[in-house]
Parts: sequence; structure tokens; C-alpha cells
Amino acid sequence: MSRVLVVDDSQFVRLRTAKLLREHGHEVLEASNGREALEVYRRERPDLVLLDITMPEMDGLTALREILAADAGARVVMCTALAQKATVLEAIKVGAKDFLVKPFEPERVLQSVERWGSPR
Amino acid sequence: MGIDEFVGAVDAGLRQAGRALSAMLGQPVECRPEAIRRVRGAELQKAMAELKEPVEAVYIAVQGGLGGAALLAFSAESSRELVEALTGEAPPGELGEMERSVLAEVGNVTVTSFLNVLGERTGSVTAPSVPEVVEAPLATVVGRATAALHAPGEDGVSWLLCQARFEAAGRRVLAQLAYLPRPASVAGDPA
Ligand SMILES: [Mg+2]
Repeated sequence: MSRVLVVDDSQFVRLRTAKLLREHGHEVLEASNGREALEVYRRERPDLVLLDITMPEMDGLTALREILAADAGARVVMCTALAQKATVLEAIKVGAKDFLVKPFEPERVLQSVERWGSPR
Repeated sequence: MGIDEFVGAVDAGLRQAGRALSAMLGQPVECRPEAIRRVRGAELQKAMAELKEPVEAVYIAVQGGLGGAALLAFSAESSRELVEALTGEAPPGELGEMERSVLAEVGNVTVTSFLNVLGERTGSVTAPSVPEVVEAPLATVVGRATAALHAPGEDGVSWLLCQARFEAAGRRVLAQLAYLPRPASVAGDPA
């Protein structure tokens, strides 16, 4: 079981992702933008962050940098609807572990959580 | 890039959006382009008039090389049908945050699928804004999207207007997808 922070500005996407993860025994925390994600991360230190890119207040790439600045060992998987190389490469360069393309295929989400979200 | 390539990308992008929504929801969703037209800004509202007022529209601004403004609009009635088909629950009278986020996500998936196709075909990098769901008269919705790109009175290049049909859970819902490329994005627009 992992503690996963699901960050997305879409309530619908958070709900669906959280439901999928809970059904598979994971504990889920939620945040609706980058700023909130950073707060929850500092407080809760989850095993893994699933981080949307396009969000109001603070976007995902900025949040990724801030989370890594707060905890160099943070494990973050980026989620984006845009399968575009430039964004992927930048996030990986900054330190994201993996990349999920939205809309999510449930299998891919679970695989990524299993691979990167082992409890610490 | 030429306007024909934009048309091709709208077509391929919509089909891809259907596959993407199916994968997300675990139920078959089809998204089919019907007629694709090019419409001058001044005529857009008339061309979309078959949508019953008020409309429910998802607005996305697109930054980058082939950027512009995108609108996915439904009549209020069909937006409710689509939400019900996708979530299995009838929405309340007024759309709440959850229902609006369903529509926003449909708009997001549809527009970004189109942008992905553009990116694959041209190597261009685009960045969509956070989708905004607006319930308003069609004129307001269209005016706002146009104002984001043009000075008043400046007609710019023509909109691409695509009637799209979403099918899920035995329901058919019609929508209008409109894309206004920033003038600098389009070469030789002869309209
Ligand atoms: Mg988002």
C-alpha cells in the first residue's frame, strides 16, 4: 500500500483517480493546484505524487521544482494530456520519475504507483 | 501551415479524443467529426445557431506556435445528457462543480487530442490553458473567444467549425468544436 498525493484541478479526474487507487488498497490525499500540493506534501510526505501539469495558481512544472526543493527524495509522476516531447523532457530533466498521459488508462496508473510509490 | 492541415488535424484529433475518453471511462465513447467548415468570425454565431440557447461551452486558450482559441460548445440540454452518459448519474438542475469538471475534462481531452495531432504532424509545441466552463448566450461565448485574439473589428483568419457527435451509453450528443488559429499560425488563408 502506498500513500499517494493526487494533484489535479479537475474534480472529476481527482475523483476517478482516487477511486481507482483506493480500490487497489492505496491511501489517497488530494490537492487541486500546485500551491495546495506543496502544502500537503510538506505536511504529509506522501510516498508518491501524481502531478497534473496544467493547473491554476501554480502549474505542475513549478510545483515539481518546489516539491523537489522541499524534499530532494520526492517521487513525482507527471500527468498530462499533452504527449509532447518538450514538456516530457523538461519534467524528467527537473526530476520527475515518470510520465502518464491523460486520460489515464487505469492499468498504467496502477503500474506507475507500484513502480515508484513503494512506502518509505 | 495551411488551413487544410488544420482541418485534417481536427478530424484526426476528434477520433483520437473518442479513444482517449473510452480508455479513461472504461466504456466505449465515440467522438465523430461530421461537417467541418471554415467560417468567418462575423458568421460564426450564425453557423452555430442550431445549438439551443443558452450554451454550455468549454473555452481553452492555446499558446505556442500554432496557437489560438478553442471552444467546445453544447446546448445546455445536451451537456446534461453527456454528463449523465459519462458518469451514469443524472446531473442536478444547476450544474455543480463536479458536472462542470466533467465537461471541462471532455473539452480538455478533445482539444488536446487535436493539439497532439498538430504536434505530431508539424513538430509544433503548444500549451493549452486551464479549461474554463461558461454557461452563457452563444454571442457572449463567441465574443469572448474572439476578443482574446483580435482587436475589435479585426476579422483575422476564419474559424474552423466542426460539428462533432459524441456517443456513449446509448446516447448521441451533438457539439460544436470551433478553433480560431492566431493569424500568424496560418499560411495563405484564402477565405
Ligand atoms: Mg489540469
